Amino acid sequence: MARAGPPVLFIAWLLAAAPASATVQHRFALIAGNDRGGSDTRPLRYAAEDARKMLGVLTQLGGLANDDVTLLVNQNSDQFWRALSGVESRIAAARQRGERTLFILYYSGHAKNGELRLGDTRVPLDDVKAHLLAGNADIRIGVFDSCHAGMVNRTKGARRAPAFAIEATGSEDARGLVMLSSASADEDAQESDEIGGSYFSHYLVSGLRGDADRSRDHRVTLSEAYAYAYARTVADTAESAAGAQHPTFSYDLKGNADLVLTDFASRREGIYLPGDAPTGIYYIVDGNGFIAAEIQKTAPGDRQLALPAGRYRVRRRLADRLRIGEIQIVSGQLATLDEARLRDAPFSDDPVKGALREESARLSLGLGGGVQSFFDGPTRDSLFPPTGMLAVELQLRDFFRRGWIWGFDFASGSTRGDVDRYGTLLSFRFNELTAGTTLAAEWRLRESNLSASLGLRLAFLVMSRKFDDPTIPDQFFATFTPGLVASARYRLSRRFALQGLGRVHYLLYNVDENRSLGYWELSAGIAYDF
Amino acid sequence: MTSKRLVTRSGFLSLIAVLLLPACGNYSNEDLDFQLALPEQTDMEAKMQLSVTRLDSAEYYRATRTAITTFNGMVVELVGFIDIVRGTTPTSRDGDQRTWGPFPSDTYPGWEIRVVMQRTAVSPTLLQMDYWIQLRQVGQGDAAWVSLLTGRYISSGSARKGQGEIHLLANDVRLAGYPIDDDPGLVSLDHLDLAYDNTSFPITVTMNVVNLPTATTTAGLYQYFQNQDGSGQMLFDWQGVTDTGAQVSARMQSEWIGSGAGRADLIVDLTPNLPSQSTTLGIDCWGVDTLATYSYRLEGNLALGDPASCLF
Repeated sequence: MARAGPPVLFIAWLLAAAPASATVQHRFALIAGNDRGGSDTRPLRYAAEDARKMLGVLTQLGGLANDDVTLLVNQNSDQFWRALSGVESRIAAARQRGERTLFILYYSGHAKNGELRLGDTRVPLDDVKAHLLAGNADIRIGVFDSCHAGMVNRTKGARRAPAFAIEATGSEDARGLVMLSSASADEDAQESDEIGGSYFSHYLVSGLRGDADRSRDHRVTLSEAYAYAYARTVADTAESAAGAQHPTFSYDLKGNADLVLTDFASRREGIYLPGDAPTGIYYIVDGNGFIAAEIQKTAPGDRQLALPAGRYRVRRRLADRLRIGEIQIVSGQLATLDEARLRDAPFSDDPVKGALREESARLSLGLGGGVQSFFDGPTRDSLFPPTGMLAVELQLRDFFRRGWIWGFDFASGSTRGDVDRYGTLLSFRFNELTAGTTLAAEWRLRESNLSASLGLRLAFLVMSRKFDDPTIPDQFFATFTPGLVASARYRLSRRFALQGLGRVHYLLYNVDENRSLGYWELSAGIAYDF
Repeated sequence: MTSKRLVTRSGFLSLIAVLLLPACGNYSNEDLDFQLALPEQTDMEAKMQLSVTRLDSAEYYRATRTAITTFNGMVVELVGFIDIVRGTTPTSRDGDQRTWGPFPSDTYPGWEIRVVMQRTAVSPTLLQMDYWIQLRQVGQGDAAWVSLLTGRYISSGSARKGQGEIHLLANDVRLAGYPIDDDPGLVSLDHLDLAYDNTSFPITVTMNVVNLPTATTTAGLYQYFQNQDGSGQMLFDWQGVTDTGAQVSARMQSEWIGSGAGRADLIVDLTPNLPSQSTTLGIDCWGVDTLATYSYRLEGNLALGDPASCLF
């Protein structure tokens, strides 16, 4: 029974007895995240985000220079191999300069049948492992957060770790391979909307930010981080429908050193939890409503968590209520989290919004401009002239089901036109207002931040014209028009995206006679996701 | 999920409902033809630079102004009928025909009115438009429509330039029982024929008023000419019957330049007291101040001012 879970207390004792020491190393990392795993898998929500979080913590606290980290978000296998080859070349160059090197390969995404799934492309796990085994870095660390990732630890070349007995003996000439996986070989790796990421990566990152620092030396070693991530992942997934998820760990190290992954001793920026603070788990919630990190306080003693400057909300859950509050981290300073900052609140005031996302839609607000024009030449020339439009669109994403978009758009445009009637040229000002609703299905294109959607739209158009000749009465036409919409969206960041769309609509014009007309619209703009 | 299903279902029903709604509006290039063919007041009204009338203005200047006012008043009356159409969307469109109404008469609930316009494209640049304003008693069939006004317009090089004619058939609707005599301006009118030509200068408008035989003035003929420089002419003939039943025929010929200064002659063609040949009863010439610069009256052989001051 003692082997069923990681002996955290033992590890803590071990680490306290022999504190880990940081080794001067030139560190490199290849960090890959891919939400898509091909047609036979359901898209993940947070794999790419997991990769970004890992990048953040490693560059902020892990001693990695930005130039030494390669981030691959939704890229394919060719790009993966090219990136890996590039990193290996740089490691070789560093070795030639006599530098000690450490290489971290992190992957979050789908894995199936012994292959990492990068969109529709495959990367055999054995090939990746072969690269890690034969890698020229002194220390290679592979972290695989994916379903069945544990198989990486049962293939040959690495020994299954006997109860995390990585000893922190302080040897600085360690060489070898360490591999972490988020789940065992027959388990699924799980994501959580509440934490906005996969369990394992979230706890790994949270631990690296300081919560895994059992030795209180303001450094988080590999074994500390893993022990923390293991315990929290198993605990949080134990009650899930998919069942408990058990991360695995294997190593093949010579020199047997524990590895300091993050060091926040010199980075005094984050949250400080005094020793007399009540025990419990403190959830640090970012501005997006996701849990950015956690502090698990189980015993007396102060705690420190390294976080970027910014405003955070804090939640601690009691049996009958929440304790919530806000904390501002100023750049370069530690913000002390006093219990007095927190207040009682009902569960309905939970600042963590991610939990609600499974059942509720996400809002996106877009602004853009475009042009509308009728296909029929005479209609375009004298009846409804091509018009520039300014538009605003509110999209309810994932409302009916995941990958579906329900949008509401409003647009307005104006231009000048002329009509010639039996030799009399009449000039007019043309105005148009449209309100439309669109139901579209969205597909994310493989290996990129690009997504495409196709859908149906129903628009209500009000077109009017006012003639320069005051004796000619104003005219208007209002009607509903059904149409097709195709759009492309390029995600610039978590919040912003560029969006371009094309529409083709049918319009029944019935004033003079019944005429079936068609018009197109092209527009581009920027969208903000709430 | 229940709420989503409800939303989906209600959204679908809403979609069906809105698709069933017809498009609406008056946005039409074709309608422009009909609107352009209708004459406007400015197309037909007499224009004179001077509009003031003083107590000491030349007598025939004042008479000219009165004739212009009367003439323009009748133009306004005619255009008033037509303007019902101009600002209203046709009730029905059928190829080259537009129909407004039938609308119930606001004044006479037992009557209804309709306007029919028929377009004939003579050529790509030549347009002919015929129109009728018709009345009938509510409940009667198509054969009961009687025309109050008929018109025709033929464009010439531009939809706004051309020749037109309007006929106000007051006695026809009177005979059909329509209480047209409730309008004091039409109580003695049998019919009115107006023709206009604004194709090029001089713009001409001819209005022939034929009153009922019982009227004191049995007929009047206005002829108006407008030149590009603002000068113009107004010829006004009228015929009447004296209390003794004698036929009277007279005419006034007014002519002015762009500034408004001008001359008017009053000529009697037939009176009981004069021979049948035309006799000039008087002449007035006036300046831009409307005061007479020369005045002549046959009666008493009076002449004031300098006849050389007359512009015509």
